[in-house]
Order: sequence, then structure tokens, then C-alpha cells
Amino acid sequence: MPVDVLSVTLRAASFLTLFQAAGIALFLALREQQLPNTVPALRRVGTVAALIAASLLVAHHLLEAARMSGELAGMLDPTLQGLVLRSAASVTLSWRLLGLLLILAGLRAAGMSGRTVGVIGSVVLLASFTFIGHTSKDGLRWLLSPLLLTHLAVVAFWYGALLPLYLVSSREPPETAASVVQQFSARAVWLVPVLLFAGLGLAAALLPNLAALQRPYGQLLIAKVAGFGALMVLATLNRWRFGPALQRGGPTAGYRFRYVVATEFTLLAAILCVTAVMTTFYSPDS
Amino acid sequence: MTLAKWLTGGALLLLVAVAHAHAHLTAAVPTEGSVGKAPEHVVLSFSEAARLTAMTLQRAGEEPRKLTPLPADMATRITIPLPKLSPGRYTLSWRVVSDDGHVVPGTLHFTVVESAAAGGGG
Repeated sequence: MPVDVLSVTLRAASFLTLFQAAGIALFLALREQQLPNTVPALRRVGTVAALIAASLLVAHHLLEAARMSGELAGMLDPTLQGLVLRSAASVTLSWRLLGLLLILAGLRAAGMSGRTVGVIGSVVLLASFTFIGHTSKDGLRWLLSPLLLTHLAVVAFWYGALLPLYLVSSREPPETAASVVQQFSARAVWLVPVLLFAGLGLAAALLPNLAALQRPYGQLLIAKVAGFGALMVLATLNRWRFGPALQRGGPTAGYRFRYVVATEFTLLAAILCVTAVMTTFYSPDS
Repeated sequence: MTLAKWLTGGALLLLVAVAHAHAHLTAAVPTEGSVGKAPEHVVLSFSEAARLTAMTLQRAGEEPRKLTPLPADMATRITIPLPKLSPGRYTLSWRVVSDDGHVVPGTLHFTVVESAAAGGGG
């Protein structure tokens, strides 16, 4: 069991960092020119997140042979490592590393070309999730893959924007910060339903029946939906209360906004960790 | 076609979809909890083709021992010869990899009794 715990820990940590890297690339593509005081810090955070994500992905991949054997010594088994090397997981890893490399290149380059490379890197990174797992083998792959990609793109956009918003609220003038928050919230109004419906569509396709909601996979799915509900409450608070308060200024406006954003970040990170557990140990039909 | 019809059609299509996910155990010989004479083989049947990557057999009170060699091909029905088993309670553990790349562990318990006392089972 320690091998499984280590594997899922690496997987969860890789989710957190790769979505952060992709999200920062997407955020910069939209807002780089507006935020002179924040962009250098975002580039640094994005770079660190991408490098850590790449390391975690490689470590997780090497550990797959150990998971196959049930013990750490399996990492040294050439037959099992060969099996891993020839699997879809290796193709997925290659695409993820390519995506992260492009994000890194985009973060180092200036201007439109850098932003474009960063977005392409994010798309490559997120598309890799459709190469493996439940959706990759389903008869409705042509439908499920776009749904999954859409779902993940919104997650990356949302989760990846929280840290930038946190930094923007403390580094930029109040009117700039308020404007950025307002624009983010205006997009979120459209994107959140897309996230929900894409997620529910995937669940409807992958769960064999309603009784599956009583099994571990279904219960974790319900936990994710509950977390999503809580996120909606926080996002609404920011949209209508703490975001506008930033513009009005005041001694505690920035602090309150950042507190809610940090809570939102923690909740989304927890949902990503639940997803790692759910997709590592459980299946929709078992 | 209106947007509403497209959405309804899409939703129905999603609801009737059948998932092809991890390979999970559909049958095993000996069966879980069985009591009987020592089986010569273990037969595992899965919901989809899987490759066996590890299998151990542990008699209660003893260290687990690895069963080798394992078949190199993917199959929905996997048969593994067992060593000669003395009476006792056994735990069989395995790991398989399904076509979607997921590692799926499994465990089975059975009890071997003296031939004269065996009433069937596995």
C-alpha cells in the first residue's frame, strides 16, 4: 500500500503544479499587458510550477512499475519498466512534458509570441489527459475527449488565475486590480456553467447507473460536486462583494478579497487531490 | 434543428453510453471464502483484457510468496498454476494492468482442508 500512497501523492502534486503552470500561461495571455507590477512574479511562479510539475510527472511515471508489482523494488524490474515504457502512459508523459516545455518557453519569451507559445503549451498539456484513462477507451471517445478537454481547460483557467489574482490585488493599483477581478468574474459567469455541464456530461457517460453513486467513485464525485457548490458561493462573494470593494478601496478590502481567493484556491486544490485519488484507485463501474 | 433538440439529443446520448473502464474481477476459481481441497490452479476472469503483473500467495502465519512465471499476454481469463498447498487459510493477491493503463489490485481468500474433510468449494 505505501507504493500506492506515494503514487497518488505524486499524482495529486503533479495535478496542482501542472494546472498552476497552465493557468498562469492562460492568465498572462489575457492580462500580461495590464499588469506591469505582477508579471515578473507570475513568470517566476509559472516557471517554478512547470519545473516541479515535470519532476513530479517523471517520478510518478517511474513509480508505475512499482505499482504494477505492488512493491518499490518493482521500479528496478526491467520487464515492468518496459511495459510502462510501451504503454499509453508514456505517450501521455511525453505530451505533458512537451506542454510544460512550451509553457516554460512562453514564460521566458516576451510579447505576443511568448503568450501564444504558452497557450499552445497549455492546450498540449491539457489534451494529454484525453490519451489515457476512462475516456480514452470509451466508444464515445469522440464526444468524451472534447468534453474532458473543455472541463480541464476551465479548471486550469479558474484554478490558475487565483494565485495571479491574489498577487494582482496586492501589487497593482486598486483600480487596476478591481478591473482585472471584474473581467475575470465576467468570464467566470460563462465558464462555470461550462465546467459544470462538461463535468456532469462526463459523469453521465462514465457512470453505468445511478447506483454507482453509492460506490467509492460515485461518492468522491459527489464530494467534488459539493466542493464545486462551495466554490460557487466564494466566487459569488468575490463577484458581488469583495471584488467591487477593491475598487472602492478601504483598509481591509484587499485583505478580505485575498482571504476569499486563498480559500477558493485551497478548495480547488482539494478537489484536484480528490480527483487524483478517484482516478487512481477507483473506476466508474466498480 | 433547434438548440434545445441538440442539447436533448446530446444528453440522451450521454446517458445511454456504456463505460469501458478498469478491468475488474468478474469471477474467480477458487471463489472468495471457499473451503475445500487444494486447488491446482487459480483462474481469474476480468471484465476486459488485463495483464497480470504481480501475484502472491500467503498462507496464514507465513510470509507471502510470489507466484511466477506470469503470463505475458493480456487476457480476460487468466490461469495460473499453484504450488502444492498444505491445509490452511490462504490469501491470494494480484495486480493487473488494463488496456487504459490503470493498475488494479485484487485479493482473494480461501481455505484448504485435508482431502477427506473437503466438501467441495474451489
